[in-house]
Amino acid sequence: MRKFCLSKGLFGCMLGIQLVCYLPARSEGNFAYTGPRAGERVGDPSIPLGPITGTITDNNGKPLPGVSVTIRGAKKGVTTDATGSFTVNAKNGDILVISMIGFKTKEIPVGTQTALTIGLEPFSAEMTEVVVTALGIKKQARSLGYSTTEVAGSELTQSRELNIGDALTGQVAGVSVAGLATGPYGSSRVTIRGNSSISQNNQPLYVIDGVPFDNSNQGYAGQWGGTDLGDGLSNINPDDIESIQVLKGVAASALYGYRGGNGAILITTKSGAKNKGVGVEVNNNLTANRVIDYRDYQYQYGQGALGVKPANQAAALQSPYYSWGAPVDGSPAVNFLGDTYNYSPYKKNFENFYKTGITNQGSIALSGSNDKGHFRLGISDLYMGAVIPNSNMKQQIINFNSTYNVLKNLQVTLTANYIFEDVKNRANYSDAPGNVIASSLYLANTFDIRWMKNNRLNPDGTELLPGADQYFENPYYLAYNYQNTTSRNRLTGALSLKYNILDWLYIQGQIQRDGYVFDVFQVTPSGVEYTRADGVHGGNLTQYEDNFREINGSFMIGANKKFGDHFSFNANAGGNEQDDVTQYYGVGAVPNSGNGPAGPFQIAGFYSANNISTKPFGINYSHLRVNSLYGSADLGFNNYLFLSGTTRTDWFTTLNYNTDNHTYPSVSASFVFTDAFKLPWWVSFGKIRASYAGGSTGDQTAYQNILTYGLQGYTVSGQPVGYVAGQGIIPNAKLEPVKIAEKEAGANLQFLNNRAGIDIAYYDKQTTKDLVQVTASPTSGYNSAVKNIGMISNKGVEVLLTATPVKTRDFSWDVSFNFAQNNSKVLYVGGDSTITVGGAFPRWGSEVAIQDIVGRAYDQIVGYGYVTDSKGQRVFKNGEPVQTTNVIPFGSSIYKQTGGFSNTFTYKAFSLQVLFDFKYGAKIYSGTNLLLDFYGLQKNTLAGRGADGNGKIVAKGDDIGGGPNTTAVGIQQYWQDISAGGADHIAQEFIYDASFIKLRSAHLTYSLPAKTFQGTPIKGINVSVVARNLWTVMKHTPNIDPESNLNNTNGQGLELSGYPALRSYGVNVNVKF
Amino acid sequence: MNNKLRLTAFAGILLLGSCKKDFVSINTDPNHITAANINYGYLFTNAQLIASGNSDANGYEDWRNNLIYSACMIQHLSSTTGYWDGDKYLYNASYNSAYWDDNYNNSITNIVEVVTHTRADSVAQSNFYNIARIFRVFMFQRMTDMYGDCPYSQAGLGFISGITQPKYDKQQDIYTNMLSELADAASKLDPSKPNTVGASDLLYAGDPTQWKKFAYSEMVRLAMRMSKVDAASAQKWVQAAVTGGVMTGNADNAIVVHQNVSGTPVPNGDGLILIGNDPNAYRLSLTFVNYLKGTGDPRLSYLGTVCKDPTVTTDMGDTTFAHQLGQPNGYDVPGSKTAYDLANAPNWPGSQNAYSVVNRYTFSRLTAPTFFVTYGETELLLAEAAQRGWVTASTAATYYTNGVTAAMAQLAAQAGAGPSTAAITAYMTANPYNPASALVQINTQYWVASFMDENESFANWRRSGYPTLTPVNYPGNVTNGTVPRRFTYPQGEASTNSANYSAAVSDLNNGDKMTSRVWWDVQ
Repeated sequence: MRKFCLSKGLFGCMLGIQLVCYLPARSEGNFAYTGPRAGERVGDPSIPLGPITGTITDNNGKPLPGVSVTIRGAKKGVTTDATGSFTVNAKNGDILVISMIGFKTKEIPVGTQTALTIGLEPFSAEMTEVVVTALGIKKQARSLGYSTTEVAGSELTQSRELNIGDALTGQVAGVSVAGLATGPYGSSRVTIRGNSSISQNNQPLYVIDGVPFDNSNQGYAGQWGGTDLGDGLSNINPDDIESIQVLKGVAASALYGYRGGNGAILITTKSGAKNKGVGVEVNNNLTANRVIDYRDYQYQYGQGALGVKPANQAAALQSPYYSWGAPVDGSPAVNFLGDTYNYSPYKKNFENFYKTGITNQGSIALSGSNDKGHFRLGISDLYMGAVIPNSNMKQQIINFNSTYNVLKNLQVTLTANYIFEDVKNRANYSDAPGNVIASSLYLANTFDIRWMKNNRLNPDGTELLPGADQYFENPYYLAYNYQNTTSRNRLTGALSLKYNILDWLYIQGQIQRDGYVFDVFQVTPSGVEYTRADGVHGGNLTQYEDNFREINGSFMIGANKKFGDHFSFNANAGGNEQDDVTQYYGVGAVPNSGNGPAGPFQIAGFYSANNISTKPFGINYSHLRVNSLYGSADLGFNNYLFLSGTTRTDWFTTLNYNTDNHTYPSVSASFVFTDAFKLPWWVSFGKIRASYAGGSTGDQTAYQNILTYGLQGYTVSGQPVGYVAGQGIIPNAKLEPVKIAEKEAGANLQFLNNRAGIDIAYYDKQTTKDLVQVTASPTSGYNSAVKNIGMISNKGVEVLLTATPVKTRDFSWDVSFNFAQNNSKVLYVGGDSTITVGGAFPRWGSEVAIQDIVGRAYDQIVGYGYVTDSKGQRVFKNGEPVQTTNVIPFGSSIYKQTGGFSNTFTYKAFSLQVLFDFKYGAKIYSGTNLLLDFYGLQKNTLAGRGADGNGKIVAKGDDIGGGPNTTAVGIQQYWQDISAGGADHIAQEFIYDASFIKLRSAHLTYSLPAKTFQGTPIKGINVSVVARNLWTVMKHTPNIDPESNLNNTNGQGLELSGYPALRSYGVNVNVKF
Repeated sequence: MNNKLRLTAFAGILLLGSCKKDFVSINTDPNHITAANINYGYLFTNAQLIASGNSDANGYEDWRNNLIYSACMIQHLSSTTGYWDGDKYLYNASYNSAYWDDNYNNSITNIVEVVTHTRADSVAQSNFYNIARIFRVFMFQRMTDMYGDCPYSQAGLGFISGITQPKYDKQQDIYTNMLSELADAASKLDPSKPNTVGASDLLYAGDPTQWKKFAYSEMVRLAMRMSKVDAASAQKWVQAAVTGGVMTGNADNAIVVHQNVSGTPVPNGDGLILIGNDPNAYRLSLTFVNYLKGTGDPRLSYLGTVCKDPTVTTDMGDTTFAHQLGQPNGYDVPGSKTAYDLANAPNWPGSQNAYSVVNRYTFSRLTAPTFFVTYGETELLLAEAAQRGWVTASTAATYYTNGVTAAMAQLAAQAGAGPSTAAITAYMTANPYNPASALVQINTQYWVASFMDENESFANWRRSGYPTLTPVNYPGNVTNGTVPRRFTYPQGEASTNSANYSAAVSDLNNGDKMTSRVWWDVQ
């Protein structure tokens, strides 16, 4: 059998053996004893009942009083006395169940002995747990000199967030997940311990089963609108995840070298190791999504301008978005179709436009193991219907994880994750045109959005617009006639061989691959007014393929040895070659090609590149390689004092390769003082730790160090026209990686038999040599230069408090509270006092930008403010506020304090978990509220409208000439001047405190009692009801969700017409066979 | 076991040894042109094209500097359009800096690349190298004439030398260096060496003989620009130029021929604005039309036309000499009811469309040529030099006659349409050279000859003081009712190049203002 399998190759072999050879093993025991192994003779039931005595001690041999001792199946039990002794009547073959809070439950089969001495192991993760650290090296948790946090896979499956990044919200101290208003197929932005770089990636490295997992954003909306094309994290099925290990600090991820400066998130997928024989697990999750309507508009004055309601179709066409009309009184008015309607408040545009999005995710997993190895094959299917009509995502994921001992000392591990993902009609947001969300936000408050539903086409097939503004479009036309489709095929996997040369020495080789093909097809239909330059032909198209692959080849030699009774020693040394190729090609607005969309279409309504006469082809290729060597050594003394050191050196093709010394060292120490000293009984466990490490958030942009040239897409007198390429950035041949150094110290304490615990960390992270795009005088021939000169500091604390306030036989209440504070400070940006962060420019509101300003926290929102006088009064000129002479910073858009508060209540087979999360200390610039002021929908535009709707406001403050302001200004003009760009714009008006507290998730799980399915192949059934984003307990942003950032770039803090926030309710059923 | 360990060590060493293998080839972009395969001729094409004033397919530099400002300030054109600030000496910072903004990090980067990369090659690229040096002088002559002190020796070297904040060279130093560059480069042009630039040179297809004439004609321009501030040098250099050999006919004119390709910078920037982007914003100036009419200049019918509606681009208008009418400078739109309502101007013809616009057979065309340096201009400058006694190869009268005749003849030959030879002869007979009013006559003719090369026209007017213009004094003007003397620096320089910018501003007699004078513009 095995011979046959081997000839079919490794993969077939493992699958074949496991499926065919292991099937009969299924009838073996379902649980493992701590005591004698299965198959050993444990007793003779014929021996009668008799008294058994015993003593129960802890690890150190100290007697434990109050331990519960019962016989499995019996209703009553006994507890140990002050000397840790007990007596119980039992017969041969019975199983004693010995349990106590804070200790692992032990089951002891009764044999022939009548006096037992039983040691209980404390139930503390820190005391015994083995965790995965950088490069997949497993270590004792107690030995770690830095902070890590593990999130169980069940936390993710229960939260039902498609994007793993979003699912981490509120779960881990110091991990901040930025909320983005980009919808369910959008990206996430996860940062750990602040932002280390102005220009480079600030998100952690994701590693799935040891394979670095690309999480690049495929495209985002900027100043002029656009789409979030998603990132990589939605390509993992939460049901396949066993656990997530968050390596927060540089020391924890130092072995990842230039990729580890932002921490790392290690994802371990489920394996079949726990299932003897073959098991099947089926999971299905059905979720309904609804839009959370945060709108709180004024409904006293309706559509129109200057207090006049539309009396005819022409007037209606002029003002579809203006709620500056007359007082709403139910009288007849005329809409944009020329129909007469009642001039009454219309509040249901959200409800009528958005539908309930139904998501169903089903997965099935097959797993099994024997003493030679184990495997798990998971297949999942996801359908996600968006709340926006005619938009959905379909995703299938196949995940395979297998380990097999081919020879006694040779272990083969194969992991693979294959995904197929198709998204239909990703939403456009941020600025119009193409924004499907804008209409329901800004339509006048007496305008029924459904008027457009069956009126989206003119008789000639072109778009029927609700008004004269051709850039604000019909949302139904956007939903049904625009196309924005993406598909992705992705394979992530690794094959590794591990050979144990000696029992303390191994060598391992690994090939890893992550790669995808991402196809984008975007159509602006031919009937879109502003694209029809000649009045006839219009529309445009972008179609391209983004091909990415990363291959890592690595080796590792490891030794693990004990010297005498006191010393242990671990060492690893290895190397890695990373090789990345990215290629984009296609027609139209291919990223980085400089092209715009291709158009117009020759034949209306036929959307193919073949229907366009001139279509620019774009191609963009990038290849980079990083070679690395690394090693680590750990020394342990008495299993309570640990010293660890690592080093890694990286060589880059993308940077100056004449320098060799990009070396990242780390040292860390851990001391479990509760094992070294005798402490009061209520101190169960105590450890202090400290570390220092160097890392980087290196640059992975190829070809930044050489000058390149381009040829224009036109000729003059037949002559090609050349130019210096590179968008005005001076190439830098001496680029180095960004340097990050971090000091960290912390403690982990457990009290009262582990009923309460605290984990605290303090860190001080300094970035130097940050790659900063420094402005150059254009007379240099360029606009900027990339230089290694930026400096940033991030310091903070992280606290995790855990407690079990109540624990009885049937009921327990577990509390977990995490809190983090990060103080960032920009120290140097290369001589300038400010630097504008790329990728973040609001369309609306002139001069508003996200800047990094020396001496201030990361990401300041800057813009023009109100001028105030010595009395603190706002200053007005001609009745309108005076704008500050220069732009001023309004505060950081990065939250200073973040955290979560989780309560888990378990009653018998029921479990209820409720998670609150909160963030404090950030600002947001709300482009939506700006437009709501401009359009007269914001409630603050009510004051002064008067009886006819065309009143005047005398704003409170002082006149520029002295004395109080007495000048009255038309209310519509007043707000439109403040909100429109230019000399009257007051950005300060639209800056809000983005702090919030939310009830993020709640889920109730019921595990059906085992007896329900006795005699069936079913081993377990769980049913849970889940809900997310149930309640916004506190926020300060009217009309919008405070977590509404436009995109996941480093420039955070801007919001405009984003995807609405969603609330979801779902049912999850999990069946194990 | 030992073998296993050895194998392990070997694997490690292999990886170590190959740590930087292939790094250069991996870090070479297969889709971008690099120094290994660029044809620098293509960059030279770009430099010439952009220097003609249309870097972005919208004619923005021409629109703002050449037309809105220079053309109106020297009263070739007149405008009642609000943003045509030059008509009334109003201030717009970005219009002032338009030419600077759009050339330094574009055409100048390109020419610096060309000069740098052709320098090393001693034979094959020698002619190309020297041609590029000559053209670079022309580009900086225009820049410094407009702004004064400016980055020159360190300009465009952001990549080559890592200079991100170039110093501002003194205009005098720039002139000194430009003149020696011209002399040196012209002397090294050698028809026996290969022509490696060829058709990429839009002016002369790389012909070294033509470039030599261009260099010496440009030398005349530079020399005469110094006539007030350094007469001795002016005399020395104008003599050197005549000895070297200047242009000898209109066939030597330096011209960029444009095409009608929408959406590219290929069309003529002036033409694009005059017929395409802003056809109704301007009229010919009363000062200009009156002068042409007063002398019976036959060019008037080829420089002006009266359209019923200038926005109708197919309306070629009425080019009849007698029907041409100039609009006075300094007025608001007719019917605006302001104190400066054009309808209240003397001799108001009842409709603004009675005033002439730029002729649509010649300069108001997308395919109109751009004249960089002409034979006619050169002869006129030599006429002044002869009049001053600085050159004696010909008489001032001969130079003058050659200059005016050529300036008229080039319209028919090169600009699309122009007066007949008979008309030119008749004009010369009626308006002979008059030594008594030589400088007025010569420089007024230069003013007509440089029509549409407005920045050049503005420079020669500042130097010579002729013709006498009719300054306007409109409320809000920034020159106290005097014709501006220069353009201001880009506002961005104050932050991106602050030390050098501040030093340059402190050297200006009146700060970074339109009323400050550049070095050669002494009172």
